[in-house]
Amino acid sequence: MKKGLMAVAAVAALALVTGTAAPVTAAEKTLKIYLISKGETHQFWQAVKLGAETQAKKMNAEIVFQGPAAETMIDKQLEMLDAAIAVKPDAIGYAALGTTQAVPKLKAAHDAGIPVYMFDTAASCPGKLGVESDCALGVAYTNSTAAGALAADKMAALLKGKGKVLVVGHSQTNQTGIDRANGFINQIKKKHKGIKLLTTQYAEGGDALKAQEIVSAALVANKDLKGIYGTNEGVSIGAGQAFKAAKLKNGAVKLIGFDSGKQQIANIKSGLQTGAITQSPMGIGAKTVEALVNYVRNKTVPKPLIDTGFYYYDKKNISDPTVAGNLYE
Amino acid sequence: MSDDLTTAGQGEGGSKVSAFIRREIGRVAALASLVVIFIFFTIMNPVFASWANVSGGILMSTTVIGLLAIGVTFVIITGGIDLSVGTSMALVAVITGKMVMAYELNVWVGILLGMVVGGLLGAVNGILITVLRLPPFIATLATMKGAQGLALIISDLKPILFATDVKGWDQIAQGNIIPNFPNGVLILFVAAIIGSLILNKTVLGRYNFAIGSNLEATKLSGVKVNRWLVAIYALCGVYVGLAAVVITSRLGSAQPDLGLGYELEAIAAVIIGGTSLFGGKGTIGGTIIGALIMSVLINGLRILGLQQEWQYVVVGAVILLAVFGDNLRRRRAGDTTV
Repeated sequence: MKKGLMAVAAVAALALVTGTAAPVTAAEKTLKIYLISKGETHQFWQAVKLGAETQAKKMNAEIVFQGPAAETMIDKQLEMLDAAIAVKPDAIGYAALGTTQAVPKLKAAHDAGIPVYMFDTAASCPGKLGVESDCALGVAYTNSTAAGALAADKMAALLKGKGKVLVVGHSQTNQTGIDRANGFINQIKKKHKGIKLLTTQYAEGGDALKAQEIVSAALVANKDLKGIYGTNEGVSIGAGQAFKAAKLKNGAVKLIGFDSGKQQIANIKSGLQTGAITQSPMGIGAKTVEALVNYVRNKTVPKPLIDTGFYYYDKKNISDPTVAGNLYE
Repeated sequence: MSDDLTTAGQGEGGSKVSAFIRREIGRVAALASLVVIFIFFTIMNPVFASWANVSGGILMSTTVIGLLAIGVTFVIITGGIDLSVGTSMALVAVITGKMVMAYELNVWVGILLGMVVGGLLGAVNGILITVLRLPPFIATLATMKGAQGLALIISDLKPILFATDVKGWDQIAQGNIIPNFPNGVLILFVAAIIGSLILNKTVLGRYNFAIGSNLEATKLSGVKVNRWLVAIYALCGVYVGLAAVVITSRLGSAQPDLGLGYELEAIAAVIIGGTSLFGGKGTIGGTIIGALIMSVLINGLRILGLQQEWQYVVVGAVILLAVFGDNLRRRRAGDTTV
């Protein structure tokens, strides 16, 4: 996974730009696909929807995108899933809110002959995902470990392979947080031996103030600190503010963050922050639709896990359409 | 910190010095622990004692928790508690951020607005406790949850950015009116001195201690206890508002999900500083020392690069030791309250 991560990112980008589907023939019927999301209004989900619709247009499919108003409303989401199954669409995409509640419903969809592919977050389906599963064919998600490794490669390139780097995580218990941090750390240890990692610190919950204090202390204790990697938006903001408070020259210490948001984007544009990794919500939407259409139309069995890609962005490529579409304020 | 920061009441007869020591022993011990911890970290890594670290690391890290802790000190001296200070701070930050951005308010109006909104939220706590007669723990637990939710709703789950839009907002905490001395720290110290004056030289301070020492007796002596309690919770809220202003200035944004858990750090600072959870006793000076002990400790452990898991354990142990030591001393002094 880690080896091919650049390739994965590149393929995802290509998929968005050119589409990887076979050309549409006139005789094909337009497929109807329901995507039951975790939310609808948040910019992240809007980007998922846009990616799905763009891909659907290319493959002669039609998307119905639905999600509850808040990510706590599991019951609302399950009602939407029920309603979608009742309509008997050609396929269903599903982003799990609760891990277990949806499983019986996904089985019901399977029994009704509707293929299901999950996106962003998988429900805990029993057994292996794929054609043998009576729950779902697979899940399209962001490989956070590989994304962390990409950050490590970028950091190593910025530092020309040597220097002290501090990782500031946003959670020691949340799986995404762990993967983002460990992906970075393991890649540095394996590939970039010239870089020395300080003890990883955590601003639990992505607390920007704690992150700022951690970075301030690290700057004082390590005059030769060259780089900081923050695993989410709050941490990245806090680290940037610590640079400001210490009156560092832009770029004196490299800062690679994660996700986007107004302040982080502003910091990257101003040069306070070097760059950041963003997931590809558009890729999540596109890959899910692609997997489902190919399965329904060509009986191509999708991979049980599809990495939907992620991007490194900085001042230079922040406005590129492939990147900009995946950023939110 | 001078005599201004001491509790009311004078030792009579005997040596004035021994009376002073007896009265001050809790705080002197806290100060001594602070010095010992400071020296320990300086020996471990001399950079710890550099001014850059003391001002930008330790003192700056004390500003937010310190301001919250000053506010909570007033409340705890009444024998009450305020669990809402952390999330109320987030709510004030969000409201202030929205208003400042929407109406392009200048910095001074923004600061004032934060303190007023904070004061109003505090008054709500006071009213819940006095008019609805809810126990402070329950009332402020409810407002803690309510404020957390409202902060998320009003902000639409998104941080509100100040930095590039409001000129000078970052200077509130990070500027230097005194060279090499961050304004945020100046705000903390001035707020502490004012708090100490309120506690020791005003009617509100006198009733604050009276309510905490003996609520019934204070009532019977004709004091309108409920009004004073609302005022005290509102005063706590004003400090929460000031903390909100400082945190938004330090971060360049109002983070709607930031603040939960800060109430416990503030309460810990108050208790380490020798204020009794049962009310009737406490000083602002002690609270500041308590807050400093916490930030010196955490900053030192970070400088040493100790793993986070162990940082938590050490902080827990120090809180335990500080309060236990204080208990022992009080018991030996024949004090029945804790």
